[in-house]
Amino acid sequence: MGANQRTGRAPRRLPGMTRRSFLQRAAGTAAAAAALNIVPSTAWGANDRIGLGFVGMGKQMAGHLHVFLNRPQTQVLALCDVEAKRLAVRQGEANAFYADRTGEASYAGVDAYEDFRELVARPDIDAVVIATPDHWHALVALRAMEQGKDVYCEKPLTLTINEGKALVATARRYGRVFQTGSQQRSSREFRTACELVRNGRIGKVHTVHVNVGGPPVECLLPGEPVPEGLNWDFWLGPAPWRPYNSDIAPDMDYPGWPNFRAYRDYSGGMMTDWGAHHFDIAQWGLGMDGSGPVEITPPDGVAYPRLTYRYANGVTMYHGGGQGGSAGVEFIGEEGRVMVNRGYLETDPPEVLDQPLGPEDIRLYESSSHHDNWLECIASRGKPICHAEIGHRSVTVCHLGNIAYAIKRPLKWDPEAEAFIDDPEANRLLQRPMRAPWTI
Amino acid sequence: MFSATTRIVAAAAVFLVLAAAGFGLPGAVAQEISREQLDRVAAALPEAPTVQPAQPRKLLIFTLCQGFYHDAIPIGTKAFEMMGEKTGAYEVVVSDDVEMFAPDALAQFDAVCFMNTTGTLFDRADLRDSLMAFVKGGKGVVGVHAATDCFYDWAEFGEMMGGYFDGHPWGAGDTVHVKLDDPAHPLNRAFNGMGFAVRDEIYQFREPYSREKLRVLASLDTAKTDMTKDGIKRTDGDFAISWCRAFGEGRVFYCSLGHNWEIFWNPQVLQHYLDGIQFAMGDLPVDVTPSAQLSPEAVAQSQAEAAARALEGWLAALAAYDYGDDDAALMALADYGAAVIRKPAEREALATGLAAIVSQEGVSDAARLFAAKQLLEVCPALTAPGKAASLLADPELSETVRYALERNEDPVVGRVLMRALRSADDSMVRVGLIHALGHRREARAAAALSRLLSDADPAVAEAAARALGWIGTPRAADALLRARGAEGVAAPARVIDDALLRAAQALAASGDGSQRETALAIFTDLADPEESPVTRAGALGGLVEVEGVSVLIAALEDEDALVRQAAAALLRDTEGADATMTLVDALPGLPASQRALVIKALADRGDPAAKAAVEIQVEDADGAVRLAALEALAVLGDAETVSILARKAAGADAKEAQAARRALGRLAGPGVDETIAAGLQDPRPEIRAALVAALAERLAADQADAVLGLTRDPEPAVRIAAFGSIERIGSGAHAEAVAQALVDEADEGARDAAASALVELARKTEAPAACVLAAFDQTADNTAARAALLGVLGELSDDAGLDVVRQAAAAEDATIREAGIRALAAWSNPAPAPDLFRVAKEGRDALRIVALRAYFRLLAMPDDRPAAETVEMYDLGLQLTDQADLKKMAIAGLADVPHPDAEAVIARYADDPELEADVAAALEKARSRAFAVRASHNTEQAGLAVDGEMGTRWTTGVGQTPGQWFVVDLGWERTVHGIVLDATGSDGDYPRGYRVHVGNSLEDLGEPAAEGEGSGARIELTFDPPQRGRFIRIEQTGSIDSLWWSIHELTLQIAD
Repeated sequence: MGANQRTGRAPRRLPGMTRRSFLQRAAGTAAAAAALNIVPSTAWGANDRIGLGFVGMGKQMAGHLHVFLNRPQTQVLALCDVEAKRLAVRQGEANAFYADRTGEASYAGVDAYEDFRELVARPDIDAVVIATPDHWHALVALRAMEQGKDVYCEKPLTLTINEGKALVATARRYGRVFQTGSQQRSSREFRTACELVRNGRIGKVHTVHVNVGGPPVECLLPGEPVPEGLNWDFWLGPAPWRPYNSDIAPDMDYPGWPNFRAYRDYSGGMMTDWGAHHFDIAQWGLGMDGSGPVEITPPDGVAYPRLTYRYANGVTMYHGGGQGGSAGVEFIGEEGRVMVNRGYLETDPPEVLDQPLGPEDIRLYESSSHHDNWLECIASRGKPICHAEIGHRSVTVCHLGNIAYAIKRPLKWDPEAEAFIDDPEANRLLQRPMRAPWTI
Repeated sequence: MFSATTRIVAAAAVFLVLAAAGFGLPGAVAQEISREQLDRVAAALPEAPTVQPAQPRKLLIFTLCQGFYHDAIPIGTKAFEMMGEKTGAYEVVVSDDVEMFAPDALAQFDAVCFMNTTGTLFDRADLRDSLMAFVKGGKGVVGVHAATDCFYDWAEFGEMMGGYFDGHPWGAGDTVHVKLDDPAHPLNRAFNGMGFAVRDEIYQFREPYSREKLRVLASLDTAKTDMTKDGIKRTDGDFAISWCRAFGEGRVFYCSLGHNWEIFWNPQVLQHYLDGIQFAMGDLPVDVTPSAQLSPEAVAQSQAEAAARALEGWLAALAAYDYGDDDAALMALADYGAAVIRKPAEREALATGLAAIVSQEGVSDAARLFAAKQLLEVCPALTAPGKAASLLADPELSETVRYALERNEDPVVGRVLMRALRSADDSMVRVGLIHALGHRREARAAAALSRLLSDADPAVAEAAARALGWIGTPRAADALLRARGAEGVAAPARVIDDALLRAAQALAASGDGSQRETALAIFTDLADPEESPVTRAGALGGLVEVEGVSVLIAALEDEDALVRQAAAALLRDTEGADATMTLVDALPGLPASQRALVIKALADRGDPAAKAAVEIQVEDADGAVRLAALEALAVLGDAETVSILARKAAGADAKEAQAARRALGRLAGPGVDETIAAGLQDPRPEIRAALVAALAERLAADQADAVLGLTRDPEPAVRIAAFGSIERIGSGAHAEAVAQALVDEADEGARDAAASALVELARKTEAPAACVLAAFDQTADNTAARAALLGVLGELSDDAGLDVVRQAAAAEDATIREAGIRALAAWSNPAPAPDLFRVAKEGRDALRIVALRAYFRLLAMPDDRPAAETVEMYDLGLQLTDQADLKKMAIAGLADVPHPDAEAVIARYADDPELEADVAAALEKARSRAFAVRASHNTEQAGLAVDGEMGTRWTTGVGQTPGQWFVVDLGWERTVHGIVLDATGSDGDYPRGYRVHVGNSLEDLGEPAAEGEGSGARIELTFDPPQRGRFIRIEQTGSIDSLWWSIHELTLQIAD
């Protein structure tokens, strides 16, 4: 035992976990890369596939791994997790996949790491996919970009607003291709909804309702013994130390989603979990990708029954409400409404949907696959549909709501300076103290 | 045959179905109180009376209900009885006999408790006078929950109780938060000055409720309660939970908690009731000055005192807390912190208490961390920096204390962190402190941190490098610069470089000239080819500031991929028209691979100044360059670009043609449509086709006439494109010309395109078939055109064209006949059903099946024909086929026909093994349709009105307003002689006004069968003459806010 004692220490690198292998890259893949895009891959040096590393091998990553194993232009090289079992299982699956593809029964080119810093230091890894718990997202992404990697990072992008600022600055500094996993942007119904709104099909928009769950809570669960194979101290990483509880980080066989999302130290609750989708769409529809609201008022039961945002252009956005039903986001304009959710798009009046876009209309970034959009941009060095600043600005809206819920007072926000106006105590919450040795 | 029935059997069947589906019957059967529940009550009771009664006291608990019956009455009564026994505060008499209110009977009591009573309990004047005399003469009244839901017709009672019930926006399953309006009031003693959460049905009150008359003790905490519930009417946020008042010489205490059973084993609520009862009986004198007359200062004072007392308790609870314990005090502390953030004295007291817990011996990690988190939010300036510094250096406490302080804006914190750093020797403590200094941008720490770059502990050196990067002052940058490659520096080179780049960016953005110079020097250094690729990539953005955008052109050919990639991003993101022009100038001299990239960057930049340069690239020898240029022109091009794109759109390279067509569709700016229209005269047909398609893509309705002209183009491919375009952008005005073009069209593909366009355009005219028929008349010897026009008529399904189609379906010519039959089969309303039947019966070959399938499809459409006839038509159709798929279609259709005969026809196929499942499903559907009920409110419980049980009911659950409705679907048309609406059991809930319709359509109701005003629990209606119809719709026409509309039982008198 002792693993569950408070140490205040970061983990040491474990010996024996890592088997570096730079030699396993499948040869003869230049043709696949060349067919990819208008920009020949030779423009980018490495005349072969995009070498990928994966950090955080939980439920969400299983899907990503499957996608990238099956893409001709990518080569999965390394996986990382702080829980040995899921790491070994995913490593076994990935090696088996390539063994099957290459006909090399003993294929062992997919390496496993406990410490992501070793993974991002590998020169043959070009890009990193991150699907850790939320409190690790920014840290891993920053260290990866500092090593010159492109990044696909799951949503919600950050735990705090300053983490997002650092991500944006770092992506810009090194010219990295960064995709935030808010994949609703690559779904037709959401793009269409936002195009209708942006092109005035419902008149001037004055109100938006965003239907997502609420803010996170303090994690006060009792302690339990740390399961074998889990480096709990590393799992916590920058978060304050607390004893393990299986509700936070269940075994990989647990059928549901792990509940770390409910707790403030690791996530922004449903507010960021779903907010990184639906508030993201609201920002897109309002054309606020580089900006954000200027006032955030928590519910007071009288004048403000709901958390209420106001944008500088007068648009009011509510957390919840609207006509409910199926809409994740409901835009209300002077001449109608647009209601959208996954697989659902409805307008009032219905004819709004039937008006095609003309040459003078605003066309939004069109992507039909969030993963492929990232890969295409890695090749062409274009900006992905949900690049770092978009992910950061959208989750900022969620964080602002969470802060207002937590401190229960109306806030004024300067989206230019990205700071609260005349409220030093609120500005404390733009960042969290991190446990050493972690820092953004 | 008419047979009078009071309750039809089928209604009972509905009940069975609902019961099977698991519908509970709320309140129907009084539940037994269990032993365990009594034990819980016993355990929750106060130990002793709040005050010793001056004399033996007697409480009448009155439980009569004339409206809704609360099943909490027995448990509440029992709890109050046990409370009196245990504390000796009073003894009770329980009764629902109104004679208890006779003066002689009442005289024995000190107070009356209305235990969840509802409705008009009595209307005898003598009893009412007696109760008033009792209270005004100095006795007491206690109201529990529904005690405000009584005597709506007796204003003096409402006045006495303090208000009338006005709905309960929060239901029995909702958890709400309650705040104490008057935390120091003796009757709030139970709550220790703290608000609380409770799960119960929460009332809203209407007049005479007023704080001018009542001393409100507790009310809903609207800031913490879901205020988005339906039914909230008050706009002042005033939802009182309990109050007391003087009434004459007497005293009244009311509390709205008491719907749920568990309220009566909630120790705090029971204590509250005991205090209220002792007050009402005269033993516990309290201040009853109405709330509105209290000075705000006095209220604030009372609240502050209570909070200060509560704070002590919360802090004590936190100090004793560990993970998994009850966290109520923690949540209260968090709320309190938010509430006092702008109140310096309270905030200071809270912070002092929390700070003590952080360093207190024997406190759990959980408590310490929670205290630190609260301090992060509320801690004001530091008052004991020395102590903070020593705690920050302590390996056991450093992380927690740093959590509390790192983000605090007090400048003293910076000095404290530095002091702690000097005395700390634990590696991770030092790393944490260094990071904190860095994030705080503590400029004065730069010197100390630069020394630490050479610290023996590599983790400390790395942290120092990052921290200096965040600090970003010239001194910090200088330290980092000198550390590069220096001997003894333990920080990794990459971390130092990243920090240095970060610092240089801060200096460059500082606005200070010399700092900018420093920054540019750093960028130049770090961009040196000798440096690592990542560092060079990171320096490139800065280098642009030094040497201009041209540096990126060179970087595109760098040997290292990371540098090239950074250059590509900067080409796109570096702002300014100069940057665009630099790229434009460089473009022709670049090798092909870089040129494609620069073109893409120019497209992303969106500056039209690059248009001409990109246009030239469309003819480049390199395919990737050509494609990139075409894609870029969609953004950069204008009317002048049309001819280039048109040529490419007509070209042989499929990818390029597609890109060019897309660009033509998206070119913005003035004159594009006109330029394209002018190009329609181009001698090359491929170009004409491409341009005519582009106009449709551009929704260029203004150019529809020009497009129409091309429907007469000599080239079929151009005509096809033109018909396709006119279909999208044409109007009804073009229908006639398109019809004519169709008649004249010789090419089969173009004719199909014309027909498709004609359908679309004819639909936009007032008489869709007219232009088609006019063209049809000219086609006597043009079979192909005739057949195409018949197809159009079928698609249009305009009845004006039906005769022509019918004749065609019987024509001699096989082609015309088939076209006619197919047009009938395509019809979108049921009109040609008999024609299709005839074809199915008498026709030849495969068309019979086409016709029969269409016939069944049309029968399923809504139509005016009597249901019996529809059944017969299905029956006849079924006899024409042996095909199982067609039979299945008919059987499924029959299941939807509202007629009893349908069942018999379906049942005829029950023995066919191929149809077994379909027949069973159809029969079940046909049978279950009968006696469906639904309602405007609580529709899932509508069955309770027809379940044969007077003890159950359907109710609106909200006050009566016009437009509420209840509908019975009898399944098919029947004769209704009358109905009985019975609300007995909720006697007041009869509809204040009603209108009853019987008919076959809910959309078209016709004349009402009965209407009137309700005047009692049971409303019997007889229809003279009897009414025929499938639906019975009962509509509320009256209104009364305070009472719901309920039907305990609906009885139908029905024949056949």
